[in-house]
Amino acid sequence: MSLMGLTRDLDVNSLGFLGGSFLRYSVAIVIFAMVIRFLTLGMNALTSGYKKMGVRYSLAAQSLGKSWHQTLRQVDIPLLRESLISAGLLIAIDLIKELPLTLMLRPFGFETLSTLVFRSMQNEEIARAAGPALGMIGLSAVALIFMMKERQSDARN
Amino acid sequence: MLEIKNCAFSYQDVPIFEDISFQLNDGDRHTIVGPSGVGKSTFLKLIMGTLTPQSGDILIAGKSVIHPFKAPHQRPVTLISQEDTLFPHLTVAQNLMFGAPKKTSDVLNRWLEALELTPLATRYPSELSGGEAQRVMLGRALIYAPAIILMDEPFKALDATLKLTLIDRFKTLFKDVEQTVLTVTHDASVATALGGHVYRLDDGRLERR
Repeated sequence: MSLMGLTRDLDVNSLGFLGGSFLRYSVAIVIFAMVIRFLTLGMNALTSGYKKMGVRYSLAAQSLGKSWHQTLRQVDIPLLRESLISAGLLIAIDLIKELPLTLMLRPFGFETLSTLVFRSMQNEEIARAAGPALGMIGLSAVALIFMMKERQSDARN
Repeated sequence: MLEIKNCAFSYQDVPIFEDISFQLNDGDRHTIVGPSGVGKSTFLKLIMGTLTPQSGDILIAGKSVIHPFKAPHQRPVTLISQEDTLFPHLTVAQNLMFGAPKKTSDVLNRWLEALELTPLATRYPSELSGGEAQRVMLGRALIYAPAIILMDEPFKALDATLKLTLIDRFKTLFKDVEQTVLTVTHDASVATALGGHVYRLDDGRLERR
């Protein structure tokens, strides 16, 4: 079976028992797809932070009578702050420019900066594409500057 | 108070303890000595609850902490580790009060004074010397005030002079508290200086010296 044939046979519209149009055209499915798509990116950033921190602080907190959720709130999250911010910003930058999934799964009339650029460029309306394109660059730059400032302040501490 | 009954523990099929028993009464201050790698830290981790024995039982205040299993935070035990476990995002004062049952400024000031840490109260762990950090870790455990304090090589990273000074300070502080203290060390001189009974752990057996 060719790849084209496989994707045609797996068309979400054919999943009648799950409600094909619900799966295909809703904000919920866009969010679900994005979570799956960017989970690895976030997990990698967090895992490396957790590896650097080790378990000694968590164990010390537990040996001082803190339950796992108190340990998470009072020790793990503050110590993983840098990794959490990095993971969030990396995902934000990728989300801003994500196109294929949004294009396939978005509900009617739902636009993102990348879909606006894509549509304008398809119609050869370069001037119309400039605004959202600059918006994407601007937002990514802001995220990047914020990430670098956070790293600098953590390095100072 | 603390009773270890016929415990066995293996690490990746290598037996560390096959049948170990031990008892500590309220207020005892004992030390276990033994060469590196005989399972001294493992012994403390079994009491703390970060490791579970494959057989046998551990009783604290007459109640089993193995059947049903009690997590580390549910046991009246704390561990002063050989590595620096001061929370780097908290100041000395915040570290001291981390496990305090009553978080009042009176308690904090009294302990800062007793530990001679008042001028360092607002410093972060990265700004402390090894001896100062050790004092904060001890103070943190004493303020938490569990029934049993376990110390795993608490003076390992310190030079000889500082080690003796700190042992003296520890002994003075322990005079005023009721906790049971069990220390493990590879250094026989530390065991002698700390006082109390000294046990030797070797080949999975504990013998009183």
